[in-house]
Parts: sequence; structure tokens; C-alpha cells
Amino acid sequence: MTTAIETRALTKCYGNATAVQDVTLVIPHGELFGLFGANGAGKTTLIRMLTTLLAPTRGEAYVNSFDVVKHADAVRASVGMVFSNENSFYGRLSGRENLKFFAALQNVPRQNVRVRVDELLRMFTLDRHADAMFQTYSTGMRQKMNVARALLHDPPILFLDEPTKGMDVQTADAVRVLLKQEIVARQGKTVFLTTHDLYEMEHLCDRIGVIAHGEMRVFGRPREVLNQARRKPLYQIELAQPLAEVTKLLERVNGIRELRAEGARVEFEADTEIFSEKELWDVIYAAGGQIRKFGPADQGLRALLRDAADDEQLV
Amino acid sequence: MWALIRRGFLIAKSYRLNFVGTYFGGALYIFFYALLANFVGQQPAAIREFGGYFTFLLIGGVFARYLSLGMKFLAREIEQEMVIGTVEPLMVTATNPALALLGASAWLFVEGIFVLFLQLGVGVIFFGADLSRANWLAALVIIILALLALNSWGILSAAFLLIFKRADPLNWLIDLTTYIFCGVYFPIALLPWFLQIFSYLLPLTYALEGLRGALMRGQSLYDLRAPLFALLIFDLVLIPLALIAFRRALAYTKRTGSLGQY
Repeated sequence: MTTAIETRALTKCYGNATAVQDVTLVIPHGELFGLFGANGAGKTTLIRMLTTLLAPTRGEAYVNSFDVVKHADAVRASVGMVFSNENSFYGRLSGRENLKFFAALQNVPRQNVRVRVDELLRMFTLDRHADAMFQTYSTGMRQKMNVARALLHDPPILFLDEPTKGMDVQTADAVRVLLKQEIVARQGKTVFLTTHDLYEMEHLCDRIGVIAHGEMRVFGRPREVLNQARRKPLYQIELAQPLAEVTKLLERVNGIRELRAEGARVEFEADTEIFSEKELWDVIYAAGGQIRKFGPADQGLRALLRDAADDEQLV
Repeated sequence: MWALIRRGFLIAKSYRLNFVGTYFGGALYIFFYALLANFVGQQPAAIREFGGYFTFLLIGGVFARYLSLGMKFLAREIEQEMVIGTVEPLMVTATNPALALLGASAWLFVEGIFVLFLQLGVGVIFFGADLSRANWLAALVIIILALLALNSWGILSAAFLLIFKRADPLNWLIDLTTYIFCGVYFPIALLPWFLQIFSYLLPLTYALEGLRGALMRGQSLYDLRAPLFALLIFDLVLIPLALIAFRRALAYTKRTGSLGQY
């Protein structure tokens, strides 16, 4: 399998600030890769370097085997880009006219433009509104246009910066199915997406990377990432009834930290060397509480990614 | 390029009063020139003999407007793309980034030709402008050389915009030079000698001098060798300068990540 995207110690600095540092990755053709990170972690900077919008400070990057600096023209012809700004169209042109314009700039042969544009409008269920001005479109429709534009010239590699942002649940699901089943599985394209959506990371992506402070912290298949990022055991308690000030109560138990309570459900991390289950049960019963369920929580990607991305707010 | 022209036309068409304003407004200018010519009493023999002050004004006003389109609008149209957020989508297409950006104003040049012919037509048909001796081939050569020089200035302005995000600091200069120093409304010989120095540093001065020679007096390319030579010098200096500046400005935006900022 040949390489769709390859970077070697790719770095971008703005003055003294480093936005992306020594990122090395290899993404083969036909893979759906998801990049996860907090705002300002370096996701968009990385995508912009790979799509020739930004010049790397040092390191190397190849897209479709073309050097992003030396062969920028060939790189641009090989990629489609979905921007996080869904308004990046001409508001006073219709959806159809916008797509026809960008198809021409993407060198789609003139005789194929109409067919290709109609095909994409149907694929994204925009055909009924195709002749309305873009400025009348809803956020979801605009984002669909954004994805449709990236596919106009049938590029082998797609970069998507938060592609399902602003879409309703059904539309987002439809786009995910389209990406996974049509674009990657059937057409064999490579997809590089950034997202804040854990479902997309866990169930959509073949491999994922987590970037924080410009550095790639975790990289691999979602399951491998789970195994790779071992943490202190996470426990979950489900009480029969919500208990007043349960957080304060449990903080007294030795070895418990990182408490999170929501209604009758409590999650916490435990230092196994000093944590005692008996002590926990005693404290809860003494306060009049009843435990319905107790055991290790399914850590999933949430906690792992939060750790890797160094951001409590993120997931 | 066709796609860029078509897009400009479709956007212009989407504004209902746009064409009325552009074409009616363009024709109204000619009425203004006719009024002005009527109020001006004594005219130098060189003007009176070859079509009069109205023809002088018509050629000056109409061509100054067309030739300076690039100076005024190349940067402004890129600024518009920055504001609506289409610069980056344009820059990741298979089309050369410089063409995608500078082509944003392509429609204005096409529409400018329509307006130019409308204005000349109105001037000739309704106000008796005398273009009977015109040497159109010589005029065309002057127009091409002048467009190259003046659009290079426009490209410099666009490069300035890409780096500093505002093209305005150069715009005041464009308007000032166009209407005062270049001889749009009066022969530059009427300016004090120290201001005439500025006039001869501007390509539009030579363009209007050449166009008036070609269209009012029917002068040949040989007769017009002085303004043609001056325009050629401007081209030789400004074209490479503009292209290098624009390329460097684009490289700067890629280095600093400021392409989408405005």
C-alpha cells in the first residue's frame, strides 16, 4: 500500500511560539484518519501545512507522494479540503453556481461540470435548493456544500476540518456513512479529518492521533490507543438515590481522586495501593446512601483523550 | 479565467440596480463632461483644432477610468474575498493561486470595456465628440502598454494588502494622481512646472497623451514614439517589480499564516 500522507518532524513556528512540533506520521491510501485536539492544539495548522496554505518552518511533508513545498501545485490537485468556516462561499450565488465555479477552478472538464455538480447536489440532498442563493442556506446545508466542494474534482485525498460541525444528527450521520462507506470503502480515498466528536473518533476512524501543544501525543488504532494510554483505574458507582454532597463525602475516602458526580452516578479514579472498597461502602452507608452498582467504568476514549490532549474542557 | 469572469458577472447581476447604476452612471459622466466643456471659454488651438475640449475631456475621463480599474480594484476585490472567507478555498484549488486571487476582478475589466464603448458612443452620438481622425490601432497599443503598467501598480497594491491587510494607504494616491496630475481634465502644461514633474513620473500621463494623439489627431505609432517609449519603460520596471512583490507577499502570508486574516 502506498503512502497518502507522510510527514517527518514537521514543525511550524510563529516567531518564538511553536504551533506544531516534530510531527511524524504515515497515513496509507484508503485510510480514514482522525486528528483530535483542543482548540489551539495545532490541528488546523497541521492541515493547512498539508494543503499548502501554510509553509512549514522545518521538516518534510508529502501528500500523494508530492512535497508540499516543492510541488504545491500537484498537492493542491490531489486534495479536497473541507474548511471549518462553512460560510466560505459566495452568498449571492446559488449553491449550484458556487459549485460550478469551484469545479472550473479545480480543472473539472467543462463537459463534466454539470453532471458532477448535479451528482453532488443529489448526494447531499441539496438538489431542491440548488438554485437558491447560498446566503439563504441553513448552517447544515452550508456545511454539506463545504463537503460537496471538496469532492468536485474527485481527489484521492480529503482533508476535513470538523466536517459535521453544525449539522443536525441525521445529516451528520449521513455524512459519516458517506465518508466511511462511499468515500473510503468504495472509492478508496484517504480521509484526514479533525473532530471534537468522540463518536467519530471511536467508530469512524481507522486510526487516530491526539495532538496537544503542537505535539502528537497518541497515534494508532482506536483500540490500540485505549491499551496504550493506561491510566489509574476508573471506578463507577450507581446509587439508589442521589446523595447530598456526595463529592465531599467521598473525598474523605483514602486513594480517591478526580471525582465526578452526576445525579446518582459517581465516577472516580483510585490509587489502588491505598484505596479500600470496604471504606467506600462504609462511608456511603453511614451517610444513608445505597449502592446499586459498583465496578470499573468503561474508560472508552473520553478519559484517555482528555489526558492526552491535556484539556479538561475538551471531552 | 472564464469562470472568474462569469462569477463576477453573476454576482453583479444578483444586485438588481447594479447594471442601471454602472451604465446609466457611466453615461451621466459624459453629460457632465459636455456641461463642463460648455462652460470652458477659451480653448488652446491644439485642442480646438482636433475635436475641441469636450473630446479632450471625453478621452481623458473615459480612458482614465478604464485604465485605472486595476489600480483601484485589484486589491479591493481580494479584500472582499478575505472578508467573505473565500480566499483559502480559492488557494487550495488546482488553479494557480496568483491567478485565482488577481482574477477576482476579471469581470470588472470586461464590464469596463462595455462602459467605455457606451461612454464613447454617447459622447460621439449625443454630444458631437470628434473621433473622425482616430487611429484605433495606435490607441490599442497604447491601451495595452498602459494597462500593463497601471495593473502592475494594482498588483503592487494587492501585495501591500496581503501583508498589511489594508490597501487604503495607496488608494488616496491613485485618485489624486489620476485626476490632478495626469491631465484628465486639463492639459498638464497648465500645471506649475514643479507639479509637472510629478505628472511625468506617472504612466497615466503618457497613456492619455498617447490616446489623445491617436484618437484626436490620428497620430501613428511612429508619431507617438515618445509616450510609447515612456510606457514601455514603466512596463519594464513595474511588471517584474509587481510580480516579485506579489509572489513575496503570498510567500509571506504562507509563512505567517495570515492568508485568511483581514
